[in-house]
Amino acid sequence: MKFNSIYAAGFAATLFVSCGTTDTEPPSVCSDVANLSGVSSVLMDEIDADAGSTVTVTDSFCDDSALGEVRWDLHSAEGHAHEEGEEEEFTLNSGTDWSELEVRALEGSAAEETFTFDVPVTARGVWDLVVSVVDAEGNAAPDVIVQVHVENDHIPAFHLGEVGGMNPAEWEGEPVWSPGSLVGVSGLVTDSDGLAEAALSLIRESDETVVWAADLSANGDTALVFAVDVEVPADAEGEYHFEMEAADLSGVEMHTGFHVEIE
Amino acid sequence: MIYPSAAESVVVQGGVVGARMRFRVGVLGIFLMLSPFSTLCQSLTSVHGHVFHADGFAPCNDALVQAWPCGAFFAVDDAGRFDATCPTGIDSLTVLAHGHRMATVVVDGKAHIDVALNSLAVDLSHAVVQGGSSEDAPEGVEVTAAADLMTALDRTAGLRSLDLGAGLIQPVVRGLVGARVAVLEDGVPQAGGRWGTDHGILLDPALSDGVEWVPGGGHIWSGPAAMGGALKLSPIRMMAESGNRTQAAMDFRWGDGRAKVHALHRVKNDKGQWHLGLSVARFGDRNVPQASFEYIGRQFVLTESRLPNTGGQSLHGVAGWRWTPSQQDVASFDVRWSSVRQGLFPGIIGIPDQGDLMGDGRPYTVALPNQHARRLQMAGKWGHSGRLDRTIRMSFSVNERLESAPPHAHGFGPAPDSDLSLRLGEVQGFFEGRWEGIHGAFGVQAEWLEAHTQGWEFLLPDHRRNRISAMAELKWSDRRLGLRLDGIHVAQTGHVEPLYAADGSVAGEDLRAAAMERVMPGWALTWYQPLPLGEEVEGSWTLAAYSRAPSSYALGANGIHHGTFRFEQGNAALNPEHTLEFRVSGRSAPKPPEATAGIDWNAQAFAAVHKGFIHLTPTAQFAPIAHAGQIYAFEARDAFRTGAELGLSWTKGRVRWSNSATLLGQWALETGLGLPFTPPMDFQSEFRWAWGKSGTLALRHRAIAPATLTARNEMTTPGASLWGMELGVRGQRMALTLEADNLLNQAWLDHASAYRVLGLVAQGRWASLRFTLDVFRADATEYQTQ
Repeated sequence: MKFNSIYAAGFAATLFVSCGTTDTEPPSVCSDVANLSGVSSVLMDEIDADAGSTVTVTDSFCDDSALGEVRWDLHSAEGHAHEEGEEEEFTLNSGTDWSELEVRALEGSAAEETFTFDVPVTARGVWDLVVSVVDAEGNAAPDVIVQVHVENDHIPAFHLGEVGGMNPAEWEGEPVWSPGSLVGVSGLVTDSDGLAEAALSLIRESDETVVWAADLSANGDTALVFAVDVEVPADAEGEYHFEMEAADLSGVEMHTGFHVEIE
Repeated sequence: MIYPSAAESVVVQGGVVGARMRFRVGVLGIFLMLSPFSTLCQSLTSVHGHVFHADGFAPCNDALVQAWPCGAFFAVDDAGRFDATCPTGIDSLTVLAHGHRMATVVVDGKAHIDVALNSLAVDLSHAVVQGGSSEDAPEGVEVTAAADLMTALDRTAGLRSLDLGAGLIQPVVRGLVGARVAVLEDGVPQAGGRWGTDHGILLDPALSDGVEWVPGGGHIWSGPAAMGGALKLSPIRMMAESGNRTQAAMDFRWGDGRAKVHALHRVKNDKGQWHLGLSVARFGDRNVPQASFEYIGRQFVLTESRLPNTGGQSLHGVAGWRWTPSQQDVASFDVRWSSVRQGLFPGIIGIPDQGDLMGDGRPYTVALPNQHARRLQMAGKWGHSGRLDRTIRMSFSVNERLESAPPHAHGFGPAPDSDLSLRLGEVQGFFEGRWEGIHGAFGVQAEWLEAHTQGWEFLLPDHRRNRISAMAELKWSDRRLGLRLDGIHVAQTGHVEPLYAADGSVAGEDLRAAAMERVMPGWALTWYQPLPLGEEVEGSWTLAAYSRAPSSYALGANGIHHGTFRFEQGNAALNPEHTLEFRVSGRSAPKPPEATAGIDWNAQAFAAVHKGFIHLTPTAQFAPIAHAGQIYAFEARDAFRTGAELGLSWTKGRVRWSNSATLLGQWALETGLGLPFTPPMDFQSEFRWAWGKSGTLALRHRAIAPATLTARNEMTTPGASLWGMELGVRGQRMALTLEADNLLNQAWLDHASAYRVLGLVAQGRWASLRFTLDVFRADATEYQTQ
């Protein structure tokens, strides 16, 4: 028994001596925001950008031993939120297919990197820029997120007044419509070049079928007020999309809309 | 009367021999009538005849014949013939043969006697099998049956279930999962993408005769994959007597609205038995006490307190046949099929949209994304008892797993034109031949697996895995020394996809997998030794050294694994890992059935050192796809694992208080960090009270410690305290059980669950009402042992 105890103690000692340690400290975005002038950073509250412009985001990255990679992921903020308790205003986004993804290797324990992207002329609304960084050991830092607000003077713009008797800015969650109901939608569509055409439609998302549509008489106006009653089919149920599209006299098109639940 | 009686278990032959005998009897009768005094005055000094097996009439060439009253022994020849003589005359013969009932025959003046011997057979109404056969692992532990496999696993110390939805369950054995755990159905290893931790096993224990788990690795008959252990489903056994038996159950679970029905019917007639079983379940979206969650930094809201699109249906079936043409032979054939279709939570494939999570009030609807898993298996077994018991097993199975999702492009490529995200088709063949005697066994196994993948979400290439193994086991005084040698052939094809530029044009090639073909050796050496600890305690220890070849997934993966929500990358250069493992177990000796009070305990512990333990490790690189996060690569690093399962129960009269605890520690030695998904300490307690003649009431509690032993970048998980109860009434042929779990509707995270990565809690409060029937069990407790 005595020898067994000695063997067991020796085994345990060998085991724990052989157990190594590793760097578990994650890297960080260590930009000095206070001293950044005229340069955008992911640590800013938000980044404003104009459609058609080029945006440069510059940040510093630090690690206690060695950096690995940094990734910039720019995607539309439509359909999700990023922070607990964040109150997002209702926004009509356009050109939401636009996204950017770039991965770059980093060297040393500190590095300053610049991420540059061109904002498409079709984009309007809010985008999320998510910056992720890992060190050479694979430790991942928590994602850092900044919203990019894109203004657009090139494409037509829709402004909703009331939907179903309610201002969309007061919506909590997505709107819910009833099958067979009439839902009043009013608002304004504008374009400085003059509107060539504008249309509204209700689309079933499961198979992209248009279940209701209305053309707005544009006639080259720079501003068009509209008020329509959307006829929700009696057999409608599930996920739908209220699509709003317009084109100006120079041929620039715009698509926007919002998600609707029918039940 | 010149024939021996049936009570003496001696049968005088029929047919031609019987006719000849009858003729001789007639002649002898005439002679006796003509010479009434002859038998009183004379006694035969020589008697000859044959000894043969009563079943089959084959000569019994190892019998001994003892002639009385002189007591001389005479051996039979190869034809079973004997010639016995006694100088003073012969009045009776005693016939002996190994494995047969002794027979005594009164000569009564006959010069020729043919003797049939019946094989020894023992009918057992209650038996404790001590693991004498190689078929039975001495370390095996029974998994107590519950309403479903997931509940059964979670209530067994040392086992957990990976929660993949109500239709798919993945067993976790001592912290190991997937390809490291062998799932055996009547000794046949199950395929079906077993490398995927999210790929649940396609079977229903209700269609088998029990589940057992065998802890640890190195079990030579369970195959080289069983590093964590094996989950063994017993085959449907043959009834002892002719008749039929139907077992059925109906179950409804409030919470996720699961309704399940199963029935198993078996009919035995003389030497044959057939059976048919079906299990059907429909389940709704999982209920969770959670209103929001965060995934890759995005915040989502859950309405209706459900995980949308997690409902589905499952179907399992079995049809089989058993046949015992003789006392020595038994043959069986089973066809098993399964089909599980269930929705996948929108976060599993791609990035969920808030609109997808709002719920539609239809919890049973299965929308995109979803998966459909199917299995068809045909298995046959033949066993022959003799000096060496022979067993031949063969199995052929087809598995298919389809994952469908809204088409979406990665990078700048075009959007796919179909919903088929991933298809994994597998064809598997298995053969085992085993020869077993009193002092040992030897055998061979061969396994062949051909897998094809397709779909727009590349994960791993077509691959092949062949294995041939030779096993030998020595047994003496309950000790066992086992050796298995494996030759494993692995191969995969190459896979290339176009690489797209930002403008959508093809800019080059993206090599996702390189062709590979390798042969890897494998081995296992296991020593099992009972511990002499007295009459009150049973104990044993096992020392096992073994290797395990990397899975085909660890060798060839390179893509987003939807079940784990990350980009996983294999390494074709990985070599087999090696393990030295020590296991010890002890338990109080079983108490006699009439005992109504006392304390029972059991304890199992293990320690294992792994050289080159292959596991997923986060790298310093990001996946080339937006929502895939870091690349997790399979790396071989030394690891140490240790743990224990402890059980203690106290019984007095109608009250029983049972407790169990599970402890586990797993470390990567190079970093000192934990291995991924190491389950925390788990303590379960049950207070059961029997009321009236047939009622039971049980109160359960499960305490789960915080999971703080984590891998790199792995989040810790808070502890949980869960209450449950059970109310049951049992009759002779039926039982009604009302059961509830997570009574306080706690929002708790299961550290071992893939959903935890999404920040999604485990199922909330549920209650089930189960009605079980076991009709016409004529002699249901008397089964033949196989």
